[in-house]
Amino acid sequence: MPETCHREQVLQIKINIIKLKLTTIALMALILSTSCKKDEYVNLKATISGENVLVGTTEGSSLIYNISLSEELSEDLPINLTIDTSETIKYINEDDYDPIFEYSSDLGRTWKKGTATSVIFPKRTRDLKVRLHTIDDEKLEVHEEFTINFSVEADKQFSISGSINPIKCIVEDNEENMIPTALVIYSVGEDKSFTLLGINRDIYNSYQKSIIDNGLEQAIIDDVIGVTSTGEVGIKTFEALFDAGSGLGGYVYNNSGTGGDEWHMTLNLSWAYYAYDLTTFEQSRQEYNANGAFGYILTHEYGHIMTLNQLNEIDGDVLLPESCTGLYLYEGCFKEASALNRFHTNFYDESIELNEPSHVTDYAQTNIAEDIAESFAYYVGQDDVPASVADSSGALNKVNFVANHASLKDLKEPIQSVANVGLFYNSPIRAYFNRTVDGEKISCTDHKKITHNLKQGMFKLKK
Amino acid sequence: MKFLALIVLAYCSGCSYNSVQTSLNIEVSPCFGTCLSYHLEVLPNSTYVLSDFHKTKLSKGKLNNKQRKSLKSIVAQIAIKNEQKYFGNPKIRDLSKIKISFNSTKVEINGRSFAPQPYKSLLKWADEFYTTNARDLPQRTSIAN
Repeated sequence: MPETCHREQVLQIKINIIKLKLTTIALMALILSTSCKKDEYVNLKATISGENVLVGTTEGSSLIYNISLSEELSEDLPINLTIDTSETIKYINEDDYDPIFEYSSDLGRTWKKGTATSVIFPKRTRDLKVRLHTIDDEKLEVHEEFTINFSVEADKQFSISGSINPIKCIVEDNEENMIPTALVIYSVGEDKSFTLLGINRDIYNSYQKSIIDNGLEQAIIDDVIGVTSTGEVGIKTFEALFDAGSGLGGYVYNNSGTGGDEWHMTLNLSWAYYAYDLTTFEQSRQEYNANGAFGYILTHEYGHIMTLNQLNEIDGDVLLPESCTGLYLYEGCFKEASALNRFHTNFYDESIELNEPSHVTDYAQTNIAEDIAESFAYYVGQDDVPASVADSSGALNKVNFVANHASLKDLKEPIQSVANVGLFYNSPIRAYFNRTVDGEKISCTDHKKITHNLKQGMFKLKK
Repeated sequence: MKFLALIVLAYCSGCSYNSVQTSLNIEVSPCFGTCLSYHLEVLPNSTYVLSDFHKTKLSKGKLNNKQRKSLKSIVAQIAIKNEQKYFGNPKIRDLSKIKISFNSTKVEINGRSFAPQPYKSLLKWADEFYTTNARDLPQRTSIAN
């Protein structure tokens, strides 16, 4: 028994020693772990700020934004980013940048990929660069703009004060550009193809941006090519503008400096997509050229080309007005048989008195070149032209002149077959020439009454 | 004597809207479309006559102080830049033809987009004056962006 008792005592002592050792180890581990925790950096509070409010680059390069924290954080801080184009007409297109943001916390030495909506501000850093790649394409574009908005995810974990101001970004297009007077300028090839030469980057409405981005609607090109191919002389360059405020329909000029024909035409597309009430100026959206107004403008402009061209109308041998026996305008001396010279002889001789209405529109009264261009557009725009008699109005006589002139008469059907030409020009003359101001119809040959009513009608609209 | 001359000069400058000794005439012809067209004549004593392009009188009166001051500052800018007489490409058909004259300044502009800045400001002033004072005329609105 005593021997057994002794063994038990020794065993108990050994167990106690082991317990003591284990306790010591546990205590040491506890002490060690406590001391380690004292060394770990813990901070979830800082103030965030951004360096830039405006950043610009040329397409193909990157936009870089610098963000700072007042204190290093002990955890990664997610930063949310959004690209906002709602406040600008010159918005960036989605295919002009890589949507994935990148970020660097080592001053740009190395970059990590974020997502299209966020980057990470890594823990234990105070400065972050965020980068967005733009894409170098070969497309003529406006200098595109957008705003980047930054936000820190609301999280109970962090206490982030301050903010990053929205940054306006401008990406300059790097394509060679021939700046047009209007919005977009094209050269027109022998094969009737349109090649974009230049754009006006100074745009102020979204229609202009859409035209620059997407090009002209094919229907516009078809109409312009179709109409300007009906005669012997076409156009070499074409410009489009979209400016409802100006009220301008279009214009043409001969750009040749050597006596040839290099015609330029500009048309205001707002007439194609908006219908105007010309007495109230109210406007409403319409399908392309639904009311024919744009077709009328196109026809009027082509009327200029057909009556002012060097090929058939101008006598290139006569340079000075004093040497010209017929009509002389800025374009030169008109041949005897030219449309304008004959028009001048028929309607502009001082001895000729024209019955009212003497012109097809108000605008036709501006000068002889506009008079014949308007008469031409009226001829093309009407399916039937009543034959004029001795007592007919000057306007009807002029339309009949166009209908019978060799260089103009055959253009009506081809133009009508390619473009919708409407007599949109709701001028007072058209509205009132054979009606009283109250709408009562009067005889087309009662010129005294027509003149009286015309004045009444014009006064009603223009007072 | 010089001091006296300066006083007289300063006094005279304050009398008219810009020491303009003749009337200011702005004539804007129609374009092919619905551009504004009018004839505005402002006399040195600030009375004006506004007519349409057919010379039908639309309104007559006297510029108010605000109009006189704004016109004076615009005309002052033109007065020092009046060497050139013609702006725009005369070959272009269908644009508004604009004639502006006062004192020895006489310019013609074919197409308002070709007008240099001081004249553009004057045309903007005149357009606003026209739309304000040509009563009962329909007001043009722009398509929203």
